[in-house]
Amino acid sequence: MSEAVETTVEEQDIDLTGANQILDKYTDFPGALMPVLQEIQEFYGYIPEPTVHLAAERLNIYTSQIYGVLTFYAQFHLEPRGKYIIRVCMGTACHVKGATRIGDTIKDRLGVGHAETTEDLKFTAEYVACIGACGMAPVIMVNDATYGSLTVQKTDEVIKKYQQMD
Amino acid sequence: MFKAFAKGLSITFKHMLPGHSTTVQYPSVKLKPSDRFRGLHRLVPSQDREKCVACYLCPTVCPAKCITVEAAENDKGEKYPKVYTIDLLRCIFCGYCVEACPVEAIEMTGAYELANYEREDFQFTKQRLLK
Amino acid sequence: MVNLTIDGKQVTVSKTATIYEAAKEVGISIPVLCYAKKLMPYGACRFCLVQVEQMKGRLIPACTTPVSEGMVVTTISDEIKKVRKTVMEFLLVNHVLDCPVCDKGGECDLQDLAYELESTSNRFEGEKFDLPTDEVNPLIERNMNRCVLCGRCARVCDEVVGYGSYSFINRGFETKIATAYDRGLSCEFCGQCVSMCPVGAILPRPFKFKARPWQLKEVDSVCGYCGNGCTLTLGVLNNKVETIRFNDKIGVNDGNLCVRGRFGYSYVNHDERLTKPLLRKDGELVEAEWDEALQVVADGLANAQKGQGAGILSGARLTNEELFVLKQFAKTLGTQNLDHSGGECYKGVTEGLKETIGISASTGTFPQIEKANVILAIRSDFYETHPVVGMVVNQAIRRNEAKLLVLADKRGKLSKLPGAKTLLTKPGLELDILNAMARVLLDEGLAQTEGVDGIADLQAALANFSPAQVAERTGVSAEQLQAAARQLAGAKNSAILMAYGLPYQGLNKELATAAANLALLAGIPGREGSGLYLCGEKANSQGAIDLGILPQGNGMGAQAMFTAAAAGQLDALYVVGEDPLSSYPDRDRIAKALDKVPFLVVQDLFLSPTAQQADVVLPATSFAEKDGTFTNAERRIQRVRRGISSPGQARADGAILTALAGKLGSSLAFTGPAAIFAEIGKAVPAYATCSFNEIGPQGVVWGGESLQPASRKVVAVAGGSEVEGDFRLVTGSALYHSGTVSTKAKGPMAVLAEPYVELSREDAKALKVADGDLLKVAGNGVELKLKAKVGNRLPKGVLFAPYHFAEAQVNRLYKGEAVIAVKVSK
Repeated sequence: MSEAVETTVEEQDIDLTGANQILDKYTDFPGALMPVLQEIQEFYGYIPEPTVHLAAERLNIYTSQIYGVLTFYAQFHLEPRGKYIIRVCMGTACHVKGATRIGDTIKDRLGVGHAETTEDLKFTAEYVACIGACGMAPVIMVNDATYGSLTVQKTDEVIKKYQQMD
Repeated sequence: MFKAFAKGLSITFKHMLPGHSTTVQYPSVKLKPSDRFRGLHRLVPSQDREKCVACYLCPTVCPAKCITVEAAENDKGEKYPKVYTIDLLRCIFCGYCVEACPVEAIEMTGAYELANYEREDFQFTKQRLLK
Repeated sequence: MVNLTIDGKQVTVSKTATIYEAAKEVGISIPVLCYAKKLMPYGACRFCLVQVEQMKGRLIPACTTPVSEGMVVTTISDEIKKVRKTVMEFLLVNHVLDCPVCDKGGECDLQDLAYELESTSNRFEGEKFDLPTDEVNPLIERNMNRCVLCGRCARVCDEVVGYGSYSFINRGFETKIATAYDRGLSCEFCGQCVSMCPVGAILPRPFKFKARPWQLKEVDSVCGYCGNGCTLTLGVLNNKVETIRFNDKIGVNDGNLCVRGRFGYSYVNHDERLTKPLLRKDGELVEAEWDEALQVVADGLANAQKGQGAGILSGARLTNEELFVLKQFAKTLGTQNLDHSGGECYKGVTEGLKETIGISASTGTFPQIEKANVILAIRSDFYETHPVVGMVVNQAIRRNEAKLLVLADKRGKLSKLPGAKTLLTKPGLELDILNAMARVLLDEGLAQTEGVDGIADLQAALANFSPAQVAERTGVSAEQLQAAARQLAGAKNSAILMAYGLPYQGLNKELATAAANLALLAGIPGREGSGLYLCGEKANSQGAIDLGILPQGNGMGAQAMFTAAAAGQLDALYVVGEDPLSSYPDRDRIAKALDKVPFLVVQDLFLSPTAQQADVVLPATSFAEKDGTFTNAERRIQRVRRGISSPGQARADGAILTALAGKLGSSLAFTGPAAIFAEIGKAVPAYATCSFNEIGPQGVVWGGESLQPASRKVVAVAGGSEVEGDFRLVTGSALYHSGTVSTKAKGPMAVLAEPYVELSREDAKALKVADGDLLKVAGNGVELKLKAKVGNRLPKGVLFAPYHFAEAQVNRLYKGEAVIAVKVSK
């Protein structure tokens, strides 16, 4: 029943002002779902459930359909994500040069594997196919910065560097 | 001609000798029917239940309409036969039920001594068929 | 029209047809999984691949490819067979082969296809799905391991039902059908997805493991709930209705059903059904034999007739034949006090429509609604009282781009449909809006005034209904009003829909008159493709009106009977298939009347609150246990067929009535539905159009597809009056229920088990109430405690309470008004 859905909108403690402002821009704008979701993600860092119900109500699209879109595209995230997103390259070159070890190191130090986020919302690890820097394999990216030719020690250093930042 | 006669009689007389008779002294002696004999049905048990999943194929295929199945859901949410009864008075032992079973839950045993005094005794319930 | 050749056969079809449909026309069946007649072409399963001469080099999906002139199609060849077999192999890579325990086994499209294609082995190997089953709700079980991703459930939920429960989620191998956030199903449980699923992925839970499809006896009948008159097929096993079967081959509902039709059948098998007559002896109701009970009733009624008289009150769920016998019985008894359904709610038809268009019935048929360009729905609950007509409206919007206008005091499912414009008025002021729209038509010269009487009077009466004035009173903007009126007048085909019945008490006549005025001015009645629809709440509401189960001569109507009874001026009351105490307005007065009346007979399925007060209770039969006809809200006479025998000694109403008549010395006999139907034809000319046995699977519409109005007269109606007060309560029908009998059915009760009062989020916040809190609602000198339900349907200051639940006694609050001022506190 839609009523049950409505209560979840109320229950979860999310400030919907931002989402409402985004939606205001797109009222009576057919086919606006993708930009709306992208902007919501930009605003909140991920797509909180109440915003989905809000978007469904305001855009008159079924919640189930929005959920279908959200799960179809890898770019949308339904869980809160860390401040620093560590992309571990698992491409062929990196794999040969020991990317698994780098992944394991991150998992060991931060406790997060693929698509997982630390409890303090600081780090999210993500194993990706190739980031196009095979010459520097094994390589990781932290947000927009790239760190290549990694070893376990070097990875440790990178992690420590970001741990010290806030 | 005499030779052939003697040969025939010798076979006859040979059968009179002990150990050569085809007659069995039933009921003190019982024949073991062949493996393919179609006698009393048996429901095959599996670990904690009957193998039967109450798919209703046997009552559907049965030409004598002698099988009664009632399906139900057990605690694990599985389909099982709450009731499974074969009315042996109507059964024609054709073995179609065995053939139809998709899970090999019913087979026909060599039991052929099926006479009884009461009509009710011919109703083989699930408990009896599982023995 | 387009000509093409399919497998050497010449076919001529319309240019919108697909290859699949064209092939079907000449009897060539192409295998399909994802295709369904009532859904848009989709092309997901790839079973329907065919060869087309003009499109060499690849196989073409028949179900999505439109036909073109000169096409040469081959539907079967070795290559096609090989491809289809491969498709089957792909599907069976993941599909669990649990046919022996799957309830779909025996009517499964995948199973049939696998058999047809002789798929015995699989060249591919892969993981079988091992997803958890959704067993959260009591009605629909989903086992996604069996899903073949045809999308039929998601499509029917969107295209027909308009609820949108399902969607494909994830992608690649992990794609599956799921609800939002992949939770348990939580919807309105119409079960349309159950009927659409070609495999055993979505199944009706109440029927789980009950039987194999081939064991069921199928009986085509008509749903016993609302006036929509959906055809349904009872699945009967061992004299018990075990399920409702999907059937889109007969009837006008295309196999569409709502939760009541599909899951509300279980009251028929209820343990509490009355099985023996009950007689009051020493203050207690005790079981008695029929003969004794009938004698007591006959004597009691005859005695009453010698005194101050007896009254007969009927429900609208009796068949036409039984209603006819009832009327004859009233004549035998010599009483003119005869009425049905509370005596008020149907006056929109018998008086409102009668005075304006001269007929007391809807003018169009439901299939025409789907073709309408503009649809005006009065009262938003239309989707809830008549869900399947709501589905028709939804299809009109999605397929034919119809524009929907909703005139209501609250938002509902109709308001959520794409492009729906809701004219949200203050409760009780719908009349003003209709008047204002009529005025716009007259002022702007859009009205068709030729041949319409009373225009001048109407014009004068509408002096105070300029859009600006009405906008101020109702809160609907003048522009919206004007736009709506112009849209209605400018449309080629338009439909005006309104529901009536016990949930709506006040203003029925007025609203119907105002709607008819508007319809006349827009030229709707009698126009092919357009229609004015007044839809009754009960299965045979229209039949009761057609047969005249109304006060005869100077006789008393329902309300007058209760007033008389309460004043001690009525000596007996015979209630057939109604529960006035639970469903009629002003419960306290009804209670007093039932208390005062010296002799009360109730004939019903259950020991209802009214029956508990009775001196004699007679056990009657449900719709599944009798033969006869119902007339639905579009005047369609349809056959009701007996599927099971009655429990215990319960008897059909017709049989009881004739037996009673016999005790009174009359020769009235229940000569069988066919003979009585012929009798009806003599009394009601409209029913003489066909004989009982001529009523086919589509029924017979008396008066034809477009009923011509007998008169065209606009009648001025005064506007509504606003009810003062902080809160205004409106009553109505909840989607899952119909009347009071659905509260005995497991299906609707599983979805909505309790009475409630609904309020807006704003009000809830102000009152500091949350969902489920108890609210004190006081009005008309009565205070009730009801569970709060917070939603976004209602505007601020408006409350809504459904009337179905006897124990809530909501009908103590309202005494026949459309809106009641109430005080609300926690």
